[in-house]
Amino acid sequence: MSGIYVHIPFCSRRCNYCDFFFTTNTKLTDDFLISLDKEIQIHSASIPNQKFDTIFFGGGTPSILTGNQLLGIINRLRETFDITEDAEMSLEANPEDLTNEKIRELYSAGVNRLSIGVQSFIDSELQFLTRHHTSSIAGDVVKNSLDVLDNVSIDIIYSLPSQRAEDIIVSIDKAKVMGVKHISAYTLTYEDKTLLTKSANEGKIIRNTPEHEATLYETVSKEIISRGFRQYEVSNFAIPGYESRHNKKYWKLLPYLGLGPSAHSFIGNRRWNNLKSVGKYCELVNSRKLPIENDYELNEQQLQSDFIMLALRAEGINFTEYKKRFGKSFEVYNKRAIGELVQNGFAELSNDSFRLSTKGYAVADEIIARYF
Amino acid sequence: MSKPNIRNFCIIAHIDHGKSTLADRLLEKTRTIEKRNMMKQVLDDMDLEQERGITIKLHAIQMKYTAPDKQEYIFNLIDTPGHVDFSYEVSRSLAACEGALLVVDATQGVEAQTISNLYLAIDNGLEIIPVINKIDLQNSMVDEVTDQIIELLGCKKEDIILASAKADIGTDLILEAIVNRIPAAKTETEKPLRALIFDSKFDIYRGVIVYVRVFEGSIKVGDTIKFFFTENAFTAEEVGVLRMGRIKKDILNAGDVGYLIAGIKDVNDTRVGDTIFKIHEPVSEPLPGYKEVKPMVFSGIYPSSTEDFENLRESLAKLKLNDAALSFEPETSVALGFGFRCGFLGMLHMEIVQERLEREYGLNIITTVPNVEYKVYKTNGEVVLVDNPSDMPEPPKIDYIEEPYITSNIITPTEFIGNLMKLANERRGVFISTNYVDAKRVDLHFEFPLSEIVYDFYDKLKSYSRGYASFDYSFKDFRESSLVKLDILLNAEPVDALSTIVHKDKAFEWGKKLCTKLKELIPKQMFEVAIQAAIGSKVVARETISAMRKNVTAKCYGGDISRKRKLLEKQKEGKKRMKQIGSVEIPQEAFHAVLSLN
Repeated sequence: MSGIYVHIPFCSRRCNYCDFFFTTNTKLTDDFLISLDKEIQIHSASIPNQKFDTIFFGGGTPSILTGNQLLGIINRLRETFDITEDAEMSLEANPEDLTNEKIRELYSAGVNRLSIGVQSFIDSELQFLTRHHTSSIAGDVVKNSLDVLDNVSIDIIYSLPSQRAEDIIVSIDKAKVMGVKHISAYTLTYEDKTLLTKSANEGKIIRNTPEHEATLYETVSKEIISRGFRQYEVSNFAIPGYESRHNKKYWKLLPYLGLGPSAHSFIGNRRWNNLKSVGKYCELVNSRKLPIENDYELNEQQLQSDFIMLALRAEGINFTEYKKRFGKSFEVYNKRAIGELVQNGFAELSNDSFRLSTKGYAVADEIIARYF
Repeated sequence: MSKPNIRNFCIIAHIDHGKSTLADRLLEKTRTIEKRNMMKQVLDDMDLEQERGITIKLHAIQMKYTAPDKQEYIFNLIDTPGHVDFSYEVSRSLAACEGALLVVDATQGVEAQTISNLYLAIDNGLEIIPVINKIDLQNSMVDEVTDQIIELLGCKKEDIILASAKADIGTDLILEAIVNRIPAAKTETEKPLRALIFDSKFDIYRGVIVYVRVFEGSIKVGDTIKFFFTENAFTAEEVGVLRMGRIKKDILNAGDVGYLIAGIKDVNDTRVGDTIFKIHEPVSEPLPGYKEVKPMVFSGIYPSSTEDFENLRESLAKLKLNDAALSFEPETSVALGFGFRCGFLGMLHMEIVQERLEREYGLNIITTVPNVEYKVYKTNGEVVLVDNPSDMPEPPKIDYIEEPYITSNIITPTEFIGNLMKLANERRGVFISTNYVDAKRVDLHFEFPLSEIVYDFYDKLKSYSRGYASFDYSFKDFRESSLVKLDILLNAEPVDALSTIVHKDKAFEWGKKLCTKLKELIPKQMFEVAIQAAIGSKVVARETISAMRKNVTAKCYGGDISRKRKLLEKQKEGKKRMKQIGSVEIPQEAFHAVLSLN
C-alpha cells in the first residue's frame, strides 16, 4: 500500500523557527488548486498499479483551505487513483483556523485525522514561537476536534531556551486529559536562515546545551510514555492503534507520491521532489510537464542504508523483513554493533528485531553514522 | 681557444630582502631573457616556493654580459636555498662560486640567516659584494644598515652598493662590481677532472640531471666518470650550460658551471658535495667539504585510509627522486596501521614534503608529532638509534640517553634580549655568548637540544620579539640528557602514535597540557573517554571527555529523506577521517596535539 502527500504551500504568516516551503501570497491559491488538479491528471498515467491507503495534507497550512476546496482535491484524487475506502486522511491544521464549522466541513470532506499545531499550552511559550493562537484557543480547538473525530494529534515544540521539564509536562498533561491520541514532540531545531537562528547567532536568545536538551528529551519521552503512549519514532508517540499510518510509510521505506510544490516522492526505488516555487510549479504543470527538481534512482546500498536509518529512528529493524528485502541477515552482518549498543543500553534486542532505546534515540544520528 | 672571463657567484639574502627581484633584473640587463617574456621571479619556479617566497631547490643560470668596454663575460648565477634546514646545500652552492652578492633590505637590516650564510661564504673564501636593497622605500635606514654591514664585513663604506632592484637603481654598478671585484674562475683545463656536484634533479625522460661546477680539467660527452664518495661510474651522455633551459655543449671546462646527464637513475647516486673525476685519470683528493646529509627530524606519515598505503609509498618514492635528503621506511603503528617513518632535514623540509603529498599527489595523510633521533645506551652495552618514541627500550634496559644539540644564532634588537633569554631558558638553551651587530642589535649565541626547537620554536621566537628576531642553526653534537617516554592512553589503551620523548623535568606539565589539548580536540563520543598521560605505569595526568547525550535530527517527515541521508553521509565521511583506537574515534588533528601546545 502506498501513500499520497499533498503540499499546500500557503501560510498567513511565517513562524520564526519554520523552514518548510510556503508562501504568504494566498492570492495564488486558486491558480495553485487548478495546477494541483493538473498535476494529479499528469500522474494518472505515470503512476500505474499503486494502491493507496493514506492521504496526508501538509504544508504550509492546509487548514487555510475551505472545506469545499479540500473536497475538490479529495474527489479528484479518488477519481484518479485507487484509494481504499478506509484510507487515513490526515490534515495539518493551525488552531486559529479550526472553527467548529471548519472542523465539521473538513470531516465531511473526508478528513479523519487532524494534526493540530498546538506547540504548547503555555502562552509565553507560544509567544516565543511567534504563534498566532493562545493556549485557551488551542485547548478549545483540540476539545472541539475530539468531539467530531476521534483521531487527533498535536504537535509540541520543546527545549525552548531555559525551559524546564515541568513546563513541558503541563502541555503533555493537558493533551492527555483531553484525550489526544497522538503527540509529535519535537525539540526546537535551529534551521538555517530562520529568524530564530538569526536571533541565536546574534546572542539575543541562548540555545540549550546538548546536555540540557538530552535531559529534557529523556524526561519528556518518559513522561509521555508513562501516560499510555507508545514511542514509535524519535519524536512521535501514539496511543496504540493511533500511529500515523502515513508517516510510517516514510519510515518503513514504503512508496508515497508527493503532490504540490516541494513535495517528495518515493516509488519503485526512485526518489524525486518537486521544485520549491508556486509560480514555476504552476507554469510547468500548465504546460503538462512534471514540476520535478531532483530525481534519482537509489542503488541497493542506498536503499539498505535508508532502510536502516529510517527503521532505527522508528520501531527498529525486523530481521525477517530485512532478509526478505535485502537477502541477507542484518543480525549477522552487524553482530558487533548490536552487541555494543545493547550492552550499553542504547538498543534492545528481541528474537526477531533490534530497536533503539530512548537513550539510543537521543543519539540516533551518531549511532547510524558510526555503526551502519 | 680564448679563455673566457667567467664569474661564478651567488646571492646571499634573507627571505624577502629582494634576492629574486635582483636576479630578475640581472637576467633582464644581460638579455638572458626578454622583459616581456619574464615571469616575475623566474628563479623560483615551484608553486610552493612562490607561495612561501622561499627558494627551496637551487638552480643555476648563465648570463652573457658585455661590459661598457665591450669586453664579454660569462656570469653564472648559482641560486641558494634560503632556509636553515638547508645549510649544507647552501654551503655547497657557495663552494661552487668565487663571489657573493650580500643583499640586505634597507628597511630590515641584517638578519641571522644572512649572517650564517655570510659566514659560510667567507669560510669558502668568497669575495663579498655588499648591496643595500630597497633604498627607495620611505622607511629605509640606509645609514644604520651601512654601519651594520661595515661592522660585519670590516669593509669600507664605498664598497657598499646602494640599490633598488625593483626600481632598477644600482644594477649597472652591481654588474660592474661582479666583473671587477669577483675573481675570474680559474681555468686549469690541463689538470685531471675535478667537478663539484652542487645539485641534481630527476627528469622522467633523462634520468638524473646533475648540476656541476668544473674546478679542474674538463668533461665531454663519452667520458667515463666516477663519483668519489658513492664510487659509482657512468658515461657522460650530454653536457651543457643552463640558460633559460639546457643548452648542449661539447665540453665543460674548468671554471664552467653546467649540467651533466649520464644515465643516472637515482638521485642518491649524485650526492651534493661529491666530486666527479674521470675513471682513467684518478684523483687522490676529492674537493673539500663533502658531508653525508642526514635527516634530523622524523615523523610518521600514514594514509588516512589504509587502501592508500601503496599510493603513499609510490608518492614518497617519486618525491625522493628529486629529494635525496628525504628518507622513508615502512613502519606499523597500532593506532594508525601501516605507514612510513620519514626523515627530514628540518621542520620546513617536513612541511614541504607533507604539503606536496597532499597537493601534488592528492593524498589524505596523517602525520605524527615530529621528533629527533636519540642515541640510547643500553645496560647490556648496546647502542641503538631511536627515531620513533615507540621504539624506545623499556626504562630498566636503558643506561642513559643522548640527544642531538644544535648551535644557533639569534639576531635581535636589544630590547627583546630579556624575552629571548626567557624563551631560551624554557627550551633548555645553553647560553654561549653575545655579540653586538651594531648599537641596537645583538647576536645571541646559544646551544639547544634540537628537540626543543622542533616544535613551534620559530613562531615563539617571532612572538617574543614582535617579529624582529631571526634565527639560524646547525647540528653540533649528541649530549646526555635526562629523558623519559610519555605515553598517552585513551580508555586505558595506549596510543603509540601519541607517545613523545620529553625531558624529565617537563614531563608532568607536558602530560597535563597534552591531556587538556586532546580533550579539546577529541569530540564527544557515545561513551565517556578517559585521557591519561603516563610515564611507564605511572599516570601523571588525566582528563575525561563526558559522553555525548544528544545527536539526533528531531524531524524526519514530509518524506524528505534525501536531505537526511546527505547529512548522514557527511557525518560518515567525517568519521572516515578519524582513526579508531579501541572504541574511541580520534580526529587527525589530535595527532598534532603536541605541536599546538603552548
